[in-house]
Amino acid sequence: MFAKMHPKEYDIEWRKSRLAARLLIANSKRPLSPRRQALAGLLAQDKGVSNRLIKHALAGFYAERPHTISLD
Amino acid sequence: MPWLVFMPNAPTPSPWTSSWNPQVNLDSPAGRTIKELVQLVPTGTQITLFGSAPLQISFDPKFLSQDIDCFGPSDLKALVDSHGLSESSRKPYVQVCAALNFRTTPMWSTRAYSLPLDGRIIVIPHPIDILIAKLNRMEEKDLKAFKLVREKTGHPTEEEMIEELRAAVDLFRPGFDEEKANDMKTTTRILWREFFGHDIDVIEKIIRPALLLREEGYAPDNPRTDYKTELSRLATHQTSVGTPSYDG
Repeated sequence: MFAKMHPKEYDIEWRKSRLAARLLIANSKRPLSPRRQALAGLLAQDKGVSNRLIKHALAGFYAERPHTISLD
Repeated sequence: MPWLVFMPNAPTPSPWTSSWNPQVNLDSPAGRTIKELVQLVPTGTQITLFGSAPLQISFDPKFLSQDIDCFGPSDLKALVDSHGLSESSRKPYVQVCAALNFRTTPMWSTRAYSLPLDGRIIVIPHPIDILIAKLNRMEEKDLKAFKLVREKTGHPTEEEMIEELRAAVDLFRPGFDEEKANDMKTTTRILWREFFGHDIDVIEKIIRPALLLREEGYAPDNPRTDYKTELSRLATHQTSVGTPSYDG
């Protein structure tokens, strides 16, 4: 079994990608605030944030809360 | 679980290349030197052989092997030097290498034979792995090794060789500027002409199918959705509320 890691222990690219995934999920519920929209823009420009990591982050969130987040 | 993906094009390994259990002859010239070699290291130590010596002790004691290529613990070279086993006046002498010198298929350690000898372990890689390592050089003597193995076992067949070289596709990459590396595409063509009696299109038969198979393995990890473009749209108010498309 893997020891559960605290999110603060994740490396910076992974943390940013999780943040990006959270923004995408948040947008699925209600429009983002201007502050969060600006953050989305920053993350979209960040080379460390990749589609692959965002996909993995989404997979993690869906696995943690399969009943609270709907899948397409 | 999307990361557990059945790969329909993955090759089925030949029974010959799956494992091996050689009849080791330690009374051959290389075998006698190996018996001396193991006495230099503590019990439980593992020494891996490659080159021609494993073929001599497994198939034919008359098969010439000037040296015994091996790698093992970090102090093995110093021990071999201090006991005179590396002197080239000996026949055969011991040449301690790095594991990096055994350039062969990534599967070699899964099918190597472990020979217990006086409490130490002698690892004898499968002949296919020894032969593929010889393809890096492919001199006349190396071709003789291929012929010896085929004479004794009837292998490798052309299909087995293609399958194993696909698994070792990274050996076909060009060498670094700093290293003297032979072109494996050329040595493979020489092997095919001399051993199988005809030429081979290395790119079409070996490299391209291997890269396609590798790409197939990565495919489940490649997102079909461009999430970063979606993020850009969020920043510029160009998106509507909705569930993010997740293709996992």
